[in-house]
Amino acid sequence: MTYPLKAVVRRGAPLGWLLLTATLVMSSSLGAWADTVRPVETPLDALANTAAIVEGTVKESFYTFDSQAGPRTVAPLVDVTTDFGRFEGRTLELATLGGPIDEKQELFVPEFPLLTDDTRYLVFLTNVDWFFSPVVDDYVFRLEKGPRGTDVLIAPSGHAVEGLTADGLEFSDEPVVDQNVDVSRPNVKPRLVENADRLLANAMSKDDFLAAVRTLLSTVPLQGEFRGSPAKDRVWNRIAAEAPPR
Amino acid sequence: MNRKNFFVGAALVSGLLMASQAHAFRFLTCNGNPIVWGGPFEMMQNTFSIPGGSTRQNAMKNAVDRWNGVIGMQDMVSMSVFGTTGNVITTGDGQNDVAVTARANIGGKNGLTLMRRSLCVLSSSWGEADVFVASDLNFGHVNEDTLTSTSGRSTFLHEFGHAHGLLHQQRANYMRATQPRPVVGGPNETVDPLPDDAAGGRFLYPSGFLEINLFASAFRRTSGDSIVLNQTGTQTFCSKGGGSITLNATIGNNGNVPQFRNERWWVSTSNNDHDNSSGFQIFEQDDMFFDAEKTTQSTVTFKMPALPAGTYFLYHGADVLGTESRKDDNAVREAMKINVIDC
Repeated sequence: MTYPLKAVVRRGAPLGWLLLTATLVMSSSLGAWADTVRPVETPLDALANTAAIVEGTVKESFYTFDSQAGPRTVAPLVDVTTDFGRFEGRTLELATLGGPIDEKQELFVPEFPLLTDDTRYLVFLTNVDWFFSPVVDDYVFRLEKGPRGTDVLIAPSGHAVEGLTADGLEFSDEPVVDQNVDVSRPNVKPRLVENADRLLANAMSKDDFLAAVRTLLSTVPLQGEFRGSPAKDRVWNRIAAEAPPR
Repeated sequence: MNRKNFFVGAALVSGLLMASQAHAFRFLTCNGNPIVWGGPFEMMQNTFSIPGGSTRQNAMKNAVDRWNGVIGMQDMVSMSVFGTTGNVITTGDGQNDVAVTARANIGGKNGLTLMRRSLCVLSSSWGEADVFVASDLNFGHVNEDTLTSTSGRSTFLHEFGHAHGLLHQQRANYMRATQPRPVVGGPNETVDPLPDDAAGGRFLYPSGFLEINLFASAFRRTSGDSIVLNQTGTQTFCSKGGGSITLNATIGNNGNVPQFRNERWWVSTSNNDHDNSSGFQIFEQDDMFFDAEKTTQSTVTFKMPALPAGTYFLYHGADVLGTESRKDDNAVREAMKINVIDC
């Protein structure tokens, strides 16, 4: 099921905001939220939250706005192949919270990875009733040809993946891609840095990465199903506070 | 006390103020222009989730104070005298909120900051920042020699870095995406912006002042980008001395002035001997050059001197001749003990 597209841009007059907020206050329930409930500290935690591990290429990201789901940046993946778990489609849309709210303002959420166009990714798709991002934590890796001609993985931090064990991921000391993000060109694929070949010398190949994942899956098998759209029982701009225990 | 008070009269040396992009810190740009706040911004404490006098409030205030404590960076963030009392935080209302929430409400993250900015035409600026921190974290003091991945204090500092406009960057810093993050040494506050964080703040919001501030840390960043303790466990030596010891060392310069400093190692039976008032110095290195806004990791090997038998805490510290904005972070108790036996 794909995420339903609504108005791409919406005018943001103050009165409109008040009406929208009033509507949301009246119509939403804050008690039924069911996103990930535990932190992802290790790859085993990540796998416990994963329904499927897939690969796909982002083609022409676009923005949507929905009064409940909020502003979304949608990265359409094509040529999708599934490495592990259950996902049978050849296309997939990753709709992450963030993007234009109206013609004047945009929501930015620094904790979520930015995906760029014409870039192939290996993605851990969540098995939880997600709302903010369909990706498990930061487990989305850009795939690039390494100096040995095999695909290697680049983390959202821009660092190459050099190892994967139950304890954690190992990364290159320095980032291998240009890390500047200019919002006038948000979907442009960052170029590799000049000395990328040297920095990628110790990068793990995709095949070795998947073999390491397979080993970890013997401890924590994938479970559940990926849900293509964000949870319907939440509103993007309302988050419940929690009082400390008495 | 705001460290900036020490340096109100400090000389302005503009050439040193615009930290160069040789640093690693990251931020968004619009047509090449950094996206920043147009002026200082106020945050509204949600007292329903962060009651006055609570450890949550203490952790939140620490984040505000510590970011404002970076000398060479304008005081950008402050807490409004007004708070909110409701149990729902709204984004898009033009109000900057700080709240604690259930982890499930922020996608399983330790923290989440929702930032609203003007659309990018020629430039863009921040208009709202709502900071959320997961309620199951520990908001209390972080011990200088303990590795933790569950610190709400660390998360507040990280999220307030986002609120200033900084992005993730994987260094020995607070803008690292995940915990654990390094802490500074000393008996007092250990959660403080680290060199690359401070450099980012100075770059986005330069004030013109200079800072001298060395610190020691019991943590290091590995070549695989993990944060680990410099050393752990116990090493045993003979009381007559002569045994060889190899130690990892981390010293940082949070200031924007290069320094020469001395480094010292000592042992003490006290777990709070940061000024070496009752211990035994075991090694010293003098006149080490230390670049501004950098963390330096090194390894030292030396022969242990003769010591009375006993079990000791191990300390590492740095000294500098100039007046520091903060001195209580110059020494750290490492996470290793030294056992000396009669022989």
